Amino acid sequence: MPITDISCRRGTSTILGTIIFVGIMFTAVIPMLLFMRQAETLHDMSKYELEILDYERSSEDIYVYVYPVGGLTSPDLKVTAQNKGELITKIVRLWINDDSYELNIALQPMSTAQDLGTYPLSPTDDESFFVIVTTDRGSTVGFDTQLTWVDEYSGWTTEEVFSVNVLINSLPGQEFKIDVWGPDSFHVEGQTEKHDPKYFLVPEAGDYTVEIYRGSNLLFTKDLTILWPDGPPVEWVFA
Amino acid sequence: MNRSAYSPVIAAVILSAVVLSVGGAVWFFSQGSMTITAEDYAEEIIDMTDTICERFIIEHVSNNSNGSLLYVWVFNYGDVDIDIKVNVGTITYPADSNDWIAVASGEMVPIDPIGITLTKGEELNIKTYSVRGNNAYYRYLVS
Repeated sequence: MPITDISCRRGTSTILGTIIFVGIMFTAVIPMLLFMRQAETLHDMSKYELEILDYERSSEDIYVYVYPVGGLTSPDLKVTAQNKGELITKIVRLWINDDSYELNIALQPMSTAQDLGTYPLSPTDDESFFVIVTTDRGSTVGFDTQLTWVDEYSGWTTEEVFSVNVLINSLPGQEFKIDVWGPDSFHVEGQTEKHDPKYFLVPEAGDYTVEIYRGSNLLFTKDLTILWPDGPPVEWVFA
Repeated sequence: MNRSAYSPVIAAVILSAVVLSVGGAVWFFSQGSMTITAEDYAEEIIDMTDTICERFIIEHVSNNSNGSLLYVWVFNYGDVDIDIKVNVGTITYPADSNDWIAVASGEMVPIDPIGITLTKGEELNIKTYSVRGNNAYYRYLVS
């Protein structure tokens, strides 16, 4: 007579144990894995968004212009900015030396210079001013030239003489020759490469013509006017 | 004649009860344990995400006319609030190791004037670092 009757062993506990195991898997382990995967996905999304932010920040391209309002002896400065980048850029702050002004101005891409406001100053004799703007993406851009207030009779002067700056991004080719013609038979020429800005110091405000050649082929011509003190002492030509 | 001491039904019931009670205990323990593990993991991931989300710059630096005070402005252009200190040479501000300057997301904060001996024309490397370990640098020429 057997001690145990094999026909009574139906595997009930085995089945129950298996059910409990499967239950633990589906109610504890798998939700935990899904939750952890969700956290990782949020992390990856944030990382991707920040890569985009960093790329957008690096592609911002703002040019700032400053000149007095109402003549050379006016202490008030007008600030304009031009967005030559591909993205809308918001200016959140403007600095004139150590004074900051909160702004909320969106600059449209590839547009003309937009007004950032007129700022009344109380300059002392021989005081110099730097103007810097800050964007919402954390970029800071300054006006190329330092303005100095000589006195109330002479008004403003610039640290450097006037300048025509040329930046070639769109013309076909790699190396270019640039000719700048100005008043009183002024002429200066230079060589540059694509995406490499070239700065030409010019003697005075007035009408200038910029010609860009590749070899002997004239590719681009632009007429511009330096309006100082009714405009900035620096003009950019983008081709 | 069957002479086993326990009826098969009672044996099955007892065995099932033991399996269910042990299994149930393991089930509840594992649920609690998995929940804690998942929450700890998610918290670490969120902390890591906040760390990589930090974005700040030293926006402006200035000094007073006699070269005894340095002024620093910090702009937080990221999506998370930050706590920072400013380091210039051997000087760290705030000096207390538990004291940090809070800068909310989107905010620009002027740091309290830092007492330091400056020489006109001297070049300074100013560093701002956050409690999460990110840094921003600024090179300043003393005027």
